[in-house]
Amino acid sequence: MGYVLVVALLTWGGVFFYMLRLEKLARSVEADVRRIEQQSAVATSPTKTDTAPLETAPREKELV
Amino acid sequence: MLFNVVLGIWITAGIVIGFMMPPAIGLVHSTVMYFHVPMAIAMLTAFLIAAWRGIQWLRTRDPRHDAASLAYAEVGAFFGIIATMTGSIWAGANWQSYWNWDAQQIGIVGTLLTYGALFALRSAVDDDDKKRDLWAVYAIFGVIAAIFLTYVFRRLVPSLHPNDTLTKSAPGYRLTLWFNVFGYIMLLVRVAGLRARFETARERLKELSWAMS
Amino acid sequence: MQPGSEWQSPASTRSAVREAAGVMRTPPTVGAHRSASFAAVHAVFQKDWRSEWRTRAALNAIVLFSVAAPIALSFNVARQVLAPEVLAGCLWSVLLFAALVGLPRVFVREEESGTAAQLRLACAPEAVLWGKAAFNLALLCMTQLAAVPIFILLLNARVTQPFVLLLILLLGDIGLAIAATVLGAMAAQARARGALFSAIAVPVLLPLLVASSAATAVALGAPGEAWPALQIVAVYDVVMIAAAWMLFDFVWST
Repeated sequence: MGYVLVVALLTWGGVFFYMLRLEKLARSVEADVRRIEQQSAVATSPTKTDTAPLETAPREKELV
Repeated sequence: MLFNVVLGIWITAGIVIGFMMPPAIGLVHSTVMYFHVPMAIAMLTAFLIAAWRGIQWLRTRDPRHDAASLAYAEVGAFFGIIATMTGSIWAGANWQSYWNWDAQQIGIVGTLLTYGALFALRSAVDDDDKKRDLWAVYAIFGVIAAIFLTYVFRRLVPSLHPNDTLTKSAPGYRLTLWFNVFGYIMLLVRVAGLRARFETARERLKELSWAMS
Repeated sequence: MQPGSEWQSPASTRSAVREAAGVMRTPPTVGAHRSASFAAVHAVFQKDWRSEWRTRAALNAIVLFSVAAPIALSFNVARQVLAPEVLAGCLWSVLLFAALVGLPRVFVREEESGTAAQLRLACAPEAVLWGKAAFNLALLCMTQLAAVPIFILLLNARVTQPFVLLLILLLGDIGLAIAATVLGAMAAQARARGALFSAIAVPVLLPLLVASSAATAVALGAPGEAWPALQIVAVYDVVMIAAAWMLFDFVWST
């Protein structure tokens, strides 16, 4: 009975610490994604020409 | 962080107390019951939560709900496999027969089949939104089937499961059992939460690479 | 509920682009005129009935299977007398596999012949659901009219409670039909349709099968009461109908 208890606790300990490692990994992955997001947000941010209204026809011409 | 600490201590305490409990009358190695039963209950809880998150996806179309649903289904299936294996080994030790098709065994095999089909369905659909819709609908049907299989068939098929023996023969059994159940449900939430975070991050990366290409 | 998840609620980029481009889920305004009345249901039923009657492909498949399987069984059983529980299990296995062969065609045919889009536009999802479920039910009842007597004859089953047998066949058929309709719609939109349908239908139908076999066993002479099993099948039917009603729209609308 004693051995089984020790084995069970060791197994649980292994699982628990593996879970903590996974959590650290998840945090680092999320940090990476956030970094990439910010980079791409900077790269694709709208410039002046993007927000100007589209011109449909040059102003000089007039329909006769 | 605090949750991790509480989780670690809770389950360790649960394991130790389980070993200290007096053995049940007429049954061998009844300590494993404090592991097998909580695993099975956690599996069903996982599937209920997965179905609930599926409903939330259908209502809000927020992919985080779908990621959580996937995570709970995966972890639930894993717990279910563990529960089946521990149950089978314990049955072999007690009644010299590893499998009998009693009501609970039908129930758990049927439930695991359902979740296998759920994963097969997800991988057979290519379109992302459609995949999530079909997953959510099938998860709901699946949990309905799981409830029927687990709880309803006890009325029809005779069961080996000592459904009353343990509660009557060991004082404090119920408290220890529920203590362990709660601990393993916390573990479920923890692990499924991690899985969901990975899944969300992966989807986000996929979208970012698609948007940037 | 997401510790550590810091995303703002992102509409996924792809969905945002799709929405902007006007590719949406079937928008509610388009379907406002789509009818879900009994006439619409009947129209869907009639369409499937007539087109099925022209080729009779699914009908033939189910009937041939339902006849061949008991013949194969009775050969293999070689004149032994089987217990009622075993006979009941065999009967429902035959009926299940016949259903798996014949029932998904009602949606697969739509997807393959390209008429699915028109159906989505023309009818409300409820009409499609009830119409096709009614068709599946009719198909099952018709084929079982032939299959069950053949099974009973070939395997020397003695029906001690015919009313129970009829009742369980009817209730079981309702469950089979409604589940096959929803699951068929799901499988038809995926790859490997036939195989996938079998894979996803069997687990969901398992409770129905076990309970139906138990009730049929009593109808074929097993001792005991059929009422508990019949109750379970009835509850299963009600729950499946309710779930199908609420969820079919999500499966059917693109």
